[in-house]
Amino acid sequence: MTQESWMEGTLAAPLLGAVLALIAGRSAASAIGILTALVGSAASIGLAFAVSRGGSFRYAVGGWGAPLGIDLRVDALAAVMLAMTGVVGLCISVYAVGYFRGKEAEAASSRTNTGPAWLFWPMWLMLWGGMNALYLSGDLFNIYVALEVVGISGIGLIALAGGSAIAAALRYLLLGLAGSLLYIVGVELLYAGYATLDLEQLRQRIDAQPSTWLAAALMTAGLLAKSALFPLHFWLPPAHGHALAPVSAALSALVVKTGFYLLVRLWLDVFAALGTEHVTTFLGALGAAAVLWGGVQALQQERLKMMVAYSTVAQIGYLFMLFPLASMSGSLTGALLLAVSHAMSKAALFMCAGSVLAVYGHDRIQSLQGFGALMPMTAAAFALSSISLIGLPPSGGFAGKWMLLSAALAGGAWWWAAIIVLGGLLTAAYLLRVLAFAFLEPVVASSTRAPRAMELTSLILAGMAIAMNFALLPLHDLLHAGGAR
Amino acid sequence: MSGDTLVLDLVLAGLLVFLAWRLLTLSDLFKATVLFIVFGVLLSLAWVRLNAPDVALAEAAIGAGVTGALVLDALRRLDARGPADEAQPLRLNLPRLVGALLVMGLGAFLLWSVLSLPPGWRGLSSETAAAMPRSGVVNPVTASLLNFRGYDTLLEIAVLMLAVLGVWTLNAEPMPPAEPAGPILDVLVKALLPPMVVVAGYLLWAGGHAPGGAFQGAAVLAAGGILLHLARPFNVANRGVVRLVIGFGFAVFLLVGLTLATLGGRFLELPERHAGILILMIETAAMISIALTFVVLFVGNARDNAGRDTS
Amino acid sequence: MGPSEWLSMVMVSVGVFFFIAGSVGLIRLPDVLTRLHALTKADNVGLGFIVLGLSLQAGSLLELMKLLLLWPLALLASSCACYLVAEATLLQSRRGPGARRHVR
Repeated sequence: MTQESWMEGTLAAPLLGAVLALIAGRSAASAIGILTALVGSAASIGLAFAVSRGGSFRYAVGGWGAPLGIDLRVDALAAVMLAMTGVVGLCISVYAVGYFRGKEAEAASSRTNTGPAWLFWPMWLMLWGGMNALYLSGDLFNIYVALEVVGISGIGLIALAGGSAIAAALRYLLLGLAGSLLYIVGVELLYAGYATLDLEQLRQRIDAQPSTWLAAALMTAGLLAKSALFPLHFWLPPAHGHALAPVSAALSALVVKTGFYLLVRLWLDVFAALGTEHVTTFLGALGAAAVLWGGVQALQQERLKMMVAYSTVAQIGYLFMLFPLASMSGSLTGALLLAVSHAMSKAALFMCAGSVLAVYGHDRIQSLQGFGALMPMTAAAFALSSISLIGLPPSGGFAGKWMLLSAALAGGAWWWAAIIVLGGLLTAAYLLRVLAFAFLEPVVASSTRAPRAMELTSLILAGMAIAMNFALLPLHDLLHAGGAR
Repeated sequence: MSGDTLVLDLVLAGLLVFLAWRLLTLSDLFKATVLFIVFGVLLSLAWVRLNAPDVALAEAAIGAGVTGALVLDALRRLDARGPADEAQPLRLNLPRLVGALLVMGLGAFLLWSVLSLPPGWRGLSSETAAAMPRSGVVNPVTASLLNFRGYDTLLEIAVLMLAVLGVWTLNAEPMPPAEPAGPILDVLVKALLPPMVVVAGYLLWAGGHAPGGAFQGAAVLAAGGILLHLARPFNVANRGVVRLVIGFGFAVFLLVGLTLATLGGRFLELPERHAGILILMIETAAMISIALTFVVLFVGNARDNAGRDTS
Repeated sequence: MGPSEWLSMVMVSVGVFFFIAGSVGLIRLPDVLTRLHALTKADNVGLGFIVLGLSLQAGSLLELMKLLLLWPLALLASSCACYLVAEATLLQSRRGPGARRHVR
């Protein structure tokens, strides 16, 4: 198969699956969902291999070409993000089958109705399709539309949990709309200035006009709000903490990375000619603040899901420390590795939280004594994810942080290095606090068990986060072969 | 721009700002809603003055019409739960003052950016003109939406589909009209529905060479549906046939794109000879789906009349 | 200007006069029913004159037919809307002053 057909498959499979799942309805939605997840993840992994062999390429949708039409751009950076979405997305889909089967059994025993729970499938596949469209796109307006697809499907998915999640979903909606508005005003200013929406053409034409700076500032503000970087993180913990477990996993592991990815594209590539040193330092400082603030907040949470959500606030901060270190060799590899292993371990953690909820009926950290004895697989998944999130060797988190640390030290920027280490200590504190309860004597003998598919997928994801330790060299080669930057 | 139209434009712009201010500061939500609809109508006039009749049609039909009906309906649902309509009037406090100053500064900067554009700025209009003969239609707006940037439109239709899924997720209770509709509304529906269907079809057809298209046609069709719902309340439950129609437009668009890709072209690459008929096909499917989408947003529930969840 | 253009202008002016009168009535008259009376006169008669005036300037038969279709449609919609508003007002006044102003 050619690069182009892998790309078309990556783009179209989740979109087609979404509309088919919608039309098919409750009875066939999950079957279509799993099938789509298999095809979609296979296509995105195939695309990553094709890029590592054939290098980056462009694709003119509709055959018109920029600036009139929309050009897609597939390079190593996009390929890594797509493959990450594919692998984690497949695991989330498998987990979701077990999760909703469990919910249905529960509803059947209490003679209630699961309501529109199957709507998870069309919305989740559409979310997946939106993320793929965003990573593939090389066009500012097309990215806006993809952001809207991601945002609106995310809101619907959060609202699936009902109750207090609906207020969180509404807040997410309002914030997302404000972010989109800022972004699109910036895009319009750039179009007015340079008569193109194509990222590559913009990069060549851009100059330091006042209106260009205004556009860049507006777009950055909008994207920062969407990626929940401190101090615009306030919407994330309630939204991710109240959603259903597979939804939290998808949002926290994958969706928050879209804003980060776009900012990397913009500030390390398109706007590079503007002379961006103070901007990248500013983004890094916000990231550092997020690492500390998110860590301290996570330490104080009573509920497991809220703690994991605050952990996302902190881990997003790590990614943004790429910006001030970007000129150092290896920093992009490190940040990407951190992003990918965070996606795996964070999805695994939210899955663990969902399994714990299914067994205990609550997720109050203080009352989780002995979950290690009751659900050993989940406890193992929790421990492995923690190793990667803290950054202990051997794990993807360790390798990524190591690359960032050495980049910081090579550049003489010891303060960034100090934040990286301090953040790791905070992460260890809040994760080990939960793990400590795993080894206590169980107080209640629970007869309910989490479905095997749920526990197993979380363990597989956590294991992959560890194995990412050995992805360092291949990833480094891919980034150089595939010509990201 | 001659002097007399300049006066008209200034009055229009002034009225828009005044209406926006009034509808934000009114404490009576009903009055604010009415002003919002008036605002939409005047905004569509502003688009006409800016030589953008397509946008004007969409603004009048969707911005003022369908959205206005949605807001009125939301207000009625709020009313049914008790007196909720006296919103707090916006008083100026320090954070709001800072916010207002920021927004005004941004507005001034934007205005300055627009004014500093080179005179005779044409954007991509020469590229568009050069590509028009190969687009299959004569109206450049339709060519952009369905051909040059059809992929954007595909994803936008996905967003509309997601809106329906959101409504079904929230599972709002059906809310039949408070009073039994009188015979006059029935007469109105009987008289207006047929011409509305014809007008929707005409707008769809006209989109190929004049202002119009799927979104405008769908808005007219949806207005007919909403009117019908007011006269004889019906239910658009989350049933198989409804889901099929909701997903139809997106599915047809996507499948056309994929078929063209497997036949040797690129995704959504409409061959020059068949572009016109393919665009009409995609737009017809999209219009039907979008119209039902608007109706579902208005009627808004996933239960059938017996209160069962039919999904 | 030829006689048909003069006639057209006179008719449009008469139409505009009815619209202005209707608007003045809408603002000045005391209650909903009398205001409706003023408003529908403007819609029905004013729009009729404007359409007639403009149709004298129509460039083609198609344009003429579109113009002539406008008036009956607007007539139908405005008289039905007028009836519905009046009905709602009556229902509310029957319910007493405590009832909400705008339930349907």
